Amino acid sequence: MYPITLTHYLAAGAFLFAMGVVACIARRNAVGILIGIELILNAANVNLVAFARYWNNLDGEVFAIIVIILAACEAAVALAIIINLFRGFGTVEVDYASKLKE
Amino acid sequence: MTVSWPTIEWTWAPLVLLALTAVGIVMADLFMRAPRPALWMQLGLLGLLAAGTAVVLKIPDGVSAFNQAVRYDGLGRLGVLVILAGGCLIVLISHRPVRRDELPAAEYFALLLLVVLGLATLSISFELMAIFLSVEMVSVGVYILAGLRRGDTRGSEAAMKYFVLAAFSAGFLVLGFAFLYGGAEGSTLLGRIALAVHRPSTPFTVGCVLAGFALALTGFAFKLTLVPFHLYAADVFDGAPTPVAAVLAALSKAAGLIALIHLLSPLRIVSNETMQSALTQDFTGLLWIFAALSIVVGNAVALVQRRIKRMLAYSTIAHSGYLLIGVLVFLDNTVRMAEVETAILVYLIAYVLMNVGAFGVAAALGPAGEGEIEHYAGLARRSPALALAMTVALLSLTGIPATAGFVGKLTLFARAVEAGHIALVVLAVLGSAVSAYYYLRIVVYMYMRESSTETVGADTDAAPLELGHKIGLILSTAATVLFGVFPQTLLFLLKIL
Repeated sequence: MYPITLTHYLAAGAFLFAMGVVACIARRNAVGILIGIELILNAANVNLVAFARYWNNLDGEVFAIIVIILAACEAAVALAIIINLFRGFGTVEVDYASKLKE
Repeated sequence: MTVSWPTIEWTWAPLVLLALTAVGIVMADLFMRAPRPALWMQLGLLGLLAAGTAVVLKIPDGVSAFNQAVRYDGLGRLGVLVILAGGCLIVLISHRPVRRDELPAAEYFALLLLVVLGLATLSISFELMAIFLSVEMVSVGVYILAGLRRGDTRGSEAAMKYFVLAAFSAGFLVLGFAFLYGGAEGSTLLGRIALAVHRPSTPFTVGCVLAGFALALTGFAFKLTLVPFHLYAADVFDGAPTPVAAVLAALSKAAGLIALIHLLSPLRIVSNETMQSALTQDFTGLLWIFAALSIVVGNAVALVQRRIKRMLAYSTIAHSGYLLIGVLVFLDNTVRMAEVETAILVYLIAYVLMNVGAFGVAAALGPAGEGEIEHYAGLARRSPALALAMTVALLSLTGIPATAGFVGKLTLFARAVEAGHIALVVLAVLGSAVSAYYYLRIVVYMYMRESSTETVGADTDAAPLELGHKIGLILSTAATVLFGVFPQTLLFLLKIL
């Protein structure tokens, strides 16, 4: 039998984090980037909850709930920004919505 | 039977006052038939001043609240005051842009207040959740503020770019915090993290703390626009409304720096314990590289910018590099803590004042003045007062004697030399010398070039400047000169407040 230990959770968190970073960097679609950011935040949540269980204390779970709330706030504002971007440029591909560098 | 009245928790008062003012503005706007930008501006100022008064009168040094999560230590308490004062100035220099661009005034000022609230809590937070919450309060507010101009593609692009980078860096920050929480054996208080650093229990917790600090530092490097995490800054500053760019340039750097110092305070060397000093040396090296790169790249790239706000963006990157020298001095224990804190505060005050001045003049000049530097040709002829304010701000940014910027650089670099960071100081001074070229170029344009016919036509400064905007510019310019000529006044203010 192999019990699931803290290290397994941390590995899962690291994997999620890596996926999120790849999504943010490789994806050029604004919604794809948003999903990547959510992945990164949830990687942190996995770690927080795993540590909370490991040290037998609730602070980490409270922190994870705060992160979830803030991720929801960010997503709400981000979707508004993406709609605004679509109105202005007619696309949500961030490479095409780039005029500031001229 | 005695009735115990609830006592007022003064430590909450400034934060609650700001939040209530912001909510009050939005609620009151619902009952107004016509937009009332001036009223919301005055209410916002009132809220900021009330919060500042509460801090000065009712909160002594070193008080803590929210179960140690918030502490008004010397640096944080004065930092809150700097941020509130800077917030007042930025509310004032928003007068012209809010009027001209027809920004929704109530939402604009309410969000600005909430961002200032986030920055104020950021500089007094001593707990990971509080730090993260403050950082997010600032970021989400700025996403909205950056894209607040209706139908403006530049603004929405700036908002998108800022969102991607800020949220991405917040991810690094919170993952770092998760590891710090694990390394501190299940506590989010910075004091407990310090314990974990000084008396580590297992190699595992050491690894967690190391990973935590590294990731959190990366997150902060994005927020402080340190090279190589600076790439979004120029685009965001250029596209966002000018006062919002000023918030990002001046206030968010100030609060971010104070929070970084608090976060890294567990690493400040207390004795030459092997574990802690080894950890500190790693991070000192990393910070050294960030500082050197920011100074070199910031100044070099600013040289070739043709738009004023992009130039100012790269100049703030260079200034972040100088400020990071302060963090390095703080981590060393060769210089007394109070002296380092004074040096950092003096620099921050000068930095906020001169940035507000420069961005305030750009905001006063309208879209043309926020664009190409060529537009500043002959400004001294067209509006001598604005040209004077811009000149003072630019001389101060360069660090010419008799301006606040000089005093700030002098105190900070003197402490750095004491701590033995001579190479970095030499680099910073060379960087300042290079920066004279791109700052003074604008002064030369303003005073020694004739304005071309099309720039005169493009001016929107034909209408007299709003009173609030004028007051904001006069205050920041006067303070820059006053603190530059009589630095004692600044030290006196820091002592009595």
